[in-house]
Amino acid sequence: MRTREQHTNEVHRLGRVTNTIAIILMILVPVLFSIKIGVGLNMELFIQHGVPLVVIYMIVCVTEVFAYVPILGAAGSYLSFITGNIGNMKLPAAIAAQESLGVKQGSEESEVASTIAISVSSLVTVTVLTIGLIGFSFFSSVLENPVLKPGFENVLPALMGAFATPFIIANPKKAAIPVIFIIVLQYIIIPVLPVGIAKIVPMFLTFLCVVITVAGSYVMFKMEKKGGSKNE
Amino acid sequence: MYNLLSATTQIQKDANSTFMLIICAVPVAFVLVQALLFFRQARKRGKEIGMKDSDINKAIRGSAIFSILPSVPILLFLIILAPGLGLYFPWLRLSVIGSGVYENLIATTISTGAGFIGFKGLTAEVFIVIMFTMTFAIITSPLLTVIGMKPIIKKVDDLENQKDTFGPHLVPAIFIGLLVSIALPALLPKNVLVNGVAKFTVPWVAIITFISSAITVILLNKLGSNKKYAFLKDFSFPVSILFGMLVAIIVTMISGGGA
Repeated sequence: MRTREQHTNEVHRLGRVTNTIAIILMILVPVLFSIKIGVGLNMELFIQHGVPLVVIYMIVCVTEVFAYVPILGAAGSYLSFITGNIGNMKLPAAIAAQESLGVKQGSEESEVASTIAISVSSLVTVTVLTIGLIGFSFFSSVLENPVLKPGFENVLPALMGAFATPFIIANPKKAAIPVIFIIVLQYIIIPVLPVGIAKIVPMFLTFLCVVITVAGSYVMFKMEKKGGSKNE
Repeated sequence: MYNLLSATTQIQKDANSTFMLIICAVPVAFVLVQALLFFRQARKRGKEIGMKDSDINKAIRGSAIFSILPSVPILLFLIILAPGLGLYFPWLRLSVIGSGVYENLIATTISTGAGFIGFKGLTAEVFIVIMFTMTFAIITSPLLTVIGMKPIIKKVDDLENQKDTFGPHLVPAIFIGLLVSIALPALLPKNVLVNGVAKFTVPWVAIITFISSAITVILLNKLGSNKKYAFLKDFSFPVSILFGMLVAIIVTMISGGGA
């Protein structure tokens, strides 16, 4: 049997090679299309409208990597950051699989469970979208049906109600930290910020919440430790 | 409704051409292979460390069922993006790497910035700028995994193994922060434009949906802890999500769509 280190090295090798190929293939799409239709990238337009978005998203991407990698593990992260839809799909799928098997977060079993869940979830998303592409007219009429539309528009609250509530109930003190932070940010801080900055801040919400929760949990940990040593 | 036959401008025709389909299908197919490779590797490792086949199959079945419903709203973004960008490029972006919100925001910001209302009448130049911006904007995450994943994972592992320090509490804290940051914003009252006028609106449908699926999952898990009803635990997530969506439909109908 391979050691955990040997397995981890294989995961990194597979992740690096496949993600590099996937990145190249994705960059090739606009390049090849541009060549095919004979219209080059208008640098003036790109610098004026595209580059500011690219810069903002680059920073968001960096912060998201640091926020998600510790939860998803190596294999799960390599795959999740290529397949996208992490918060609304890959993260819940990974945690749901860990929960259903009753494995401890951080253990090898939990890594296996989350990698399987993220792989399967990626396959399902691509399949659903491809079916949607083939039967576009039919699905657009179903999804835009005024009776059914509210159901599809509220998948995220439905998903998070089912997924997040048990964890929030189990950790009320820790969960209170980001809840208070988001409320303060939305109703007190953002309204007084210049419009340009106020529009960008929500894009960093995930990272800011993680930082604030970690900082608050650290303070709580120190206080509990101090209280514990006083009692001893 | 969008129809391929309604593509009138040259760029719309090009965006829906067989060439575009092929260049988009290649990365999609590659990512499918990538997912299968990771799946095979994880399954092999699971067997090596003594995980039962039944557990592995449970993880496969559970995540397949779980992933169907959240995939459907992504189709909504395909419907939003298709009139301007054609079918195939949004299909690529939404199938792999992107997320509906990001992709839509980039496309809308650029088309509006370039002077268009929505995606109507986009020129080839703007279309190309949107394609490059979408591609480069979100490529940073996978690029960073290629460059920096190993040291990040090593650092996290080291921290988790430090007993009597904050290290082992780090990942649970990150997790709670992530959960709340994803769940809460959709439930908070905010200003919404109604007929061009900003109106402070409480998202009652989203709140009631959240509470309904939360109660359902708690009840199903509680029932599932009884051996007789253990099967309920396996389906608690999809059933709760489905019930939440059903509640959203009913509440909207009762409130006349204004909630």
